[in-house]
Amino acid sequence: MRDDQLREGMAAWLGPVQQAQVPDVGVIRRRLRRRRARQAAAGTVACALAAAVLVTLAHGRAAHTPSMAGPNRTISVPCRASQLRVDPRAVLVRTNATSMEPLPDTYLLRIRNTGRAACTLTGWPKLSIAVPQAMRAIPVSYGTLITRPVRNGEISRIVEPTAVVLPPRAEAAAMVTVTYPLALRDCASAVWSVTPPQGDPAVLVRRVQASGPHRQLMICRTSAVTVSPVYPAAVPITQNYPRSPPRESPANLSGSLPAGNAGPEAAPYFMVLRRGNAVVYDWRTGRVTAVIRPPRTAPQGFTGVAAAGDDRTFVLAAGAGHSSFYEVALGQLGTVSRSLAQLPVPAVANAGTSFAVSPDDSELALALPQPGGVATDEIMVVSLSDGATRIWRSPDPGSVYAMSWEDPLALRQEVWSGHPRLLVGWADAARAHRVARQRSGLRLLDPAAPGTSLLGSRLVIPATVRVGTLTTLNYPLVTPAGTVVFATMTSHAGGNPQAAVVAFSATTGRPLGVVTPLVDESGFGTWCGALWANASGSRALAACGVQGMVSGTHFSTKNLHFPAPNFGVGSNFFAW
Amino acid sequence: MTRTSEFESFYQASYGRIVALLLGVLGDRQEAEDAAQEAFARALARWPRLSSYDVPEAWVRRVALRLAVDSGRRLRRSIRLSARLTRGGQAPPREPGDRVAFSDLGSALMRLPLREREVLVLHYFADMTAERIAAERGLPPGTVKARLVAGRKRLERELAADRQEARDAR
Repeated sequence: MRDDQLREGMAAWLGPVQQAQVPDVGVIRRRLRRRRARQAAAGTVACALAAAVLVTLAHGRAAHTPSMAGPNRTISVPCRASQLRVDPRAVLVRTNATSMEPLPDTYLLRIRNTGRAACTLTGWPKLSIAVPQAMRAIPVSYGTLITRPVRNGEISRIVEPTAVVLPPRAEAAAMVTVTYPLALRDCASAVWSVTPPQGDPAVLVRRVQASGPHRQLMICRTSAVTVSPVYPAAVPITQNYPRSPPRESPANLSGSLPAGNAGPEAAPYFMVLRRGNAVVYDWRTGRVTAVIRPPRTAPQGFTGVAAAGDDRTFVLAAGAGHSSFYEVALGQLGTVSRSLAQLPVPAVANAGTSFAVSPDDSELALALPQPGGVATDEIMVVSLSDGATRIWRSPDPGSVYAMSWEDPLALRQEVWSGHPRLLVGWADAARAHRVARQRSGLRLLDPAAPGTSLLGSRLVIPATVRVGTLTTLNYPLVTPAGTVVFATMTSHAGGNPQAAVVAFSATTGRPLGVVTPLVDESGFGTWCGALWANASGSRALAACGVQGMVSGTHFSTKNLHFPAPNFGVGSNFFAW
Repeated sequence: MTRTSEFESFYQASYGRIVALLLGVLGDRQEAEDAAQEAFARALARWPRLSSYDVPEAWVRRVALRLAVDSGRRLRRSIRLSARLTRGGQAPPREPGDRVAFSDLGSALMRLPLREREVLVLHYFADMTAERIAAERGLPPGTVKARLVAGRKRLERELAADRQEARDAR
């Protein structure tokens, strides 16, 4: 058979198929939806299996861990409401679910079997909110179930909802995610209730204690005794599940540590809040160079940290309710060279979780939640030399979700005589949605300019910005020169939400590029955001699933030894 | 033109070619359509990136062929069984509208090893050169040429055997 005969034969055989009617494109779309659903299910199962393996490895057989049972197996009798005690010391954790706006709040409800016999808690404890009529439509979803042994031990996460056998005195904890509307009113009347799945009467989680160490765990914007709806005081989950703190050891300081001024690759040290302490890491080696403990007057520990422009001076907030602010300086080897000194910042409520220190360490910007039940944040800039304050307000409600200072002096070749500007993440909650959308986004506030209106600031990047399929802005970081803004954005295009860091021009507001890989962002995934940037923004450090360096828009993986949390605990849990 | 309509146009234009190609490789219309639709679904998921390619169809063809090869390996046993039944005198599987073509060339092709069948269809039906096949399939060009030669020889033998069987049957 010759070649042309073979070609003709194949054309005669397959040609009619080629001309056959094409199915509707809806077939492809349905197939894609099914495929994504299968992938999501497979991911859930894989996570559950991995978590189960981790549980087994972590606790072994000897540990007093609530055992797991498959959904079709009955190991012990179902738990009754009378034998369950829901610990009102629920831990509020902020998720890193940047794909959702407003950010959801996640609560860890600890449930204890107080009976004498083991019982099975099947499925998620149902949760409802006894609230005024205006709050009825608040969406609630159930997240990861966490179990932990009665005695000290690591917590373990079990993703798959299934039956959990609770031995006597054992505890389980349900993670419940609640998305409050931005303009939530009357949060003081919110009361939680948890309904056991077997339909027994609800167990009410009434109010947390108004005093004591747990007061800060559920701080309301209007009151310190109920659940905080929008931007609560965030507390690291590890505070309630203590682990051994990193120890300061002289051995850690031996070896070839980079000099503090060893080139402009990146600031050598960063500070992370862990268990109420501030821990200093050398990012090149991962070594802990210092552990700073809170002052005795603030036994609750540090609640926030921010870095000045010299990469050596850090400002720490401590205390629940009315925060105090302290300054600490690091030496060449990352150890403390100037111990904690209290700053002359007026006592303001709930200001310890969102603040930024100016690059020259002369001013402190604070986001102040105002009483009234509605999110009406103000921005206060305090002079650290004389304590003078200046306040910016918005005519309508809204929230400040991040702040970052620029530092024009960082570009040493430029002669600059102005005042550094403050990048503010602003979520407007005006009644008219169109107005709120137009105002929301990343705004540059010039503290040297006259006026007290927060809306007098320049909207640099609107909240409605889209970069391909990426939307929403979080964790903004303006470069010292004020030319580039890095922000975390999320995409829903691939089924599961995904996050990436995007660079924008601060001048035009236009995106310069997606600078990190897209990472799955399920709400409980790893933290994603820019960590540090040099003066011009040409080089940055970022963590988004993987950690690495950004040169221009090129990302190269590098272990930064940044302990990226599974739970984002506010924007001030680290400073670089 | 929006991306959605771009994809629809691309899908309408290239679906038939991909299915025909896969039918030549797999010999099974259902399997071919299944692999083609799966490949297009994956293309839809990546369309913002794929739409910037010079020839998005090449990507779909590569994915579809990989799916077809996987599917073909799963079906190998049943295909061989089918081939033995065919040579045993039973009626070969018919394709509606392709009855004559499938009964000689198509059925002979189906008895070839999958790797040889694949390069024969790509070369003689899709008019792809050995170098282009090698580039798309990630194979050395020499391997593709060797498979083409071996496939041609084996196809000749199969067709000759079919003709002999037909004569014997008369």
